[in-house]
Amino acid sequence: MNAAELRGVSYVYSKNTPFCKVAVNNIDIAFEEKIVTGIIGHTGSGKSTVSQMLNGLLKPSEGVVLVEDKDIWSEPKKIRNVRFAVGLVFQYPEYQLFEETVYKDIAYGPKNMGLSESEIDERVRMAASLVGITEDMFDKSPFDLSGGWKRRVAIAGVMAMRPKILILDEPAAGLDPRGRDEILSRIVEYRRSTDSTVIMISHSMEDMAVYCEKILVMSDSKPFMYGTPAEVFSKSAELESVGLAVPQVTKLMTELKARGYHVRTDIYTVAQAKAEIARLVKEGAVC
Amino acid sequence: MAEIIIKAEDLCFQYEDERAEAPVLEHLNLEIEKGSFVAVLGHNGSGKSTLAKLVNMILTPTSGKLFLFGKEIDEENMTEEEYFALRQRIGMVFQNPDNQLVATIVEEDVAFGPENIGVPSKEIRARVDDALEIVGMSAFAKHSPHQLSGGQKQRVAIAGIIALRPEIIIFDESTAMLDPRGRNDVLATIEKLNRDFGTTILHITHYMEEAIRADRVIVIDEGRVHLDGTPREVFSSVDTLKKIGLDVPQVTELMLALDRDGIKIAKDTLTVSESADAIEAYMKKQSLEKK
Repeated sequence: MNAAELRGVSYVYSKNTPFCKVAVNNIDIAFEEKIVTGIIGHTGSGKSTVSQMLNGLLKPSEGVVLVEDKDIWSEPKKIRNVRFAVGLVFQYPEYQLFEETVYKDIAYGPKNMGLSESEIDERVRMAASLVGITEDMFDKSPFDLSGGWKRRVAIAGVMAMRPKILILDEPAAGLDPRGRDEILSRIVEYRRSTDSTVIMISHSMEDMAVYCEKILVMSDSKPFMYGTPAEVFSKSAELESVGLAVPQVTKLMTELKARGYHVRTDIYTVAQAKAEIARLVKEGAVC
Repeated sequence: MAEIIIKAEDLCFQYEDERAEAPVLEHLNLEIEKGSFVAVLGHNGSGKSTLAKLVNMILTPTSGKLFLFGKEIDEENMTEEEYFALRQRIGMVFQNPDNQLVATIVEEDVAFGPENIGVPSKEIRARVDDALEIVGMSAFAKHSPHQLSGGQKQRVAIAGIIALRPEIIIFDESTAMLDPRGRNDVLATIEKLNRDFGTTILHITHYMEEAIRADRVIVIDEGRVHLDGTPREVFSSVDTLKKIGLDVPQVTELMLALDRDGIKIAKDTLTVSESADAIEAYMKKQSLEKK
């Protein structure tokens, strides 16, 4: 089943003004449920617009947005429920913290959903543990935390609403390598333990390769490629043509192939590349 | 040997508020030559931004000595004029492009710095035009900054610094919030400043592919210089870097992993073409040996 779907969707910013810009141009795309899907594309490719249409923050200029096979705009007055079902974590969410304590900040979303105190408490604890926040941090001010921890608080706040689909816009942007791996693996773990759907926007092909099951590449307001990491990365020349940086090992394999060596080009991790080069060396020695 | 433009001797720094735990910098020693392009790596909290702020004279050392342009930085024994004069020779570009632009027109933003230090207006005009030319943003001189992409905004921020004509520019994770294209444009600008104008560059980054373009890489960990050398020397320490939570270029990691498995191709390649060359040479040598 599909978690969400866009059918014939377009979005135009500042329509009927000189600044009019088509951000999404007549696209059809279905997001599979219960996997991590990555959306990648350079600035202005339309990826953030897609994510904001999925949770009803933007209303498409044309076309239909379906969440669990239901048109989210069929009853515009109930759009708030869509926003609970599809949680959106913005870029640099740590700038949106505002409560006095970590606990209160995570509890803000569930509170707005009108849940009981005990339900809220349970959700806050669960979301906190999913991102690695321990109870001794609950009473701290979120503003006393480091950037990486602030971001975890902000993400936990959305997770605590238990959305069926969690969308994160650049969740690892600006973090150091360790912080980045920590956050991304927590998100994958969250998806597994809640059996939900995750859609993640990123600029980093390396991260996508490791953490996503499917990758949607956007370019010029349209889907450019859509498939498993191996399918997408096997076309490194096309990816570079739309301004994306492919992983170094993928480039290496493409380069070796161009020099006449028979190697796979659908490789994107160091371990895969190691196995492939070991094979090349061994077979090269045989013939 | 070139002139030493930055020198730290037993440099220590500790934040004074009640939350401060351990010192951020602990007896850091460092010498940087004039005209060099130095990449500074380290995980969050390693002390690298604190070092940048000390060099930019935003912070003053808790103990130890810091020399800039051969002069010891000592607030108590310097006149205010001396202090500010020194400060003007160092520029800093920050992480978030949106926090650095103040004016509503690109060229006015670039003129903000020179205006503040009292540059005559005729010269301001020339400086602004030059600076926008260097960063490749002349065509946007009359645009409003909010219509620019992140990478373009960051280049305008750099132009604002260039217009002050500093001899040292510190980039404090100035590429962290940009997409690959924007990052590449900013890095090309940094290289140009270093190559064509001899500006000394301190580039703090988490991106290893940027660090390999520098002349020298310094890894800061726990407030000290942990590794220091050419990119090739530093990145060959794959295990050390991984242990302190940093990345290495994928090809470097790949070649080292192959080497450990007895496939001795090369251990210190940094780029894709270098690695492809090494593999090709290895394959040719092997087939010759066979014959």
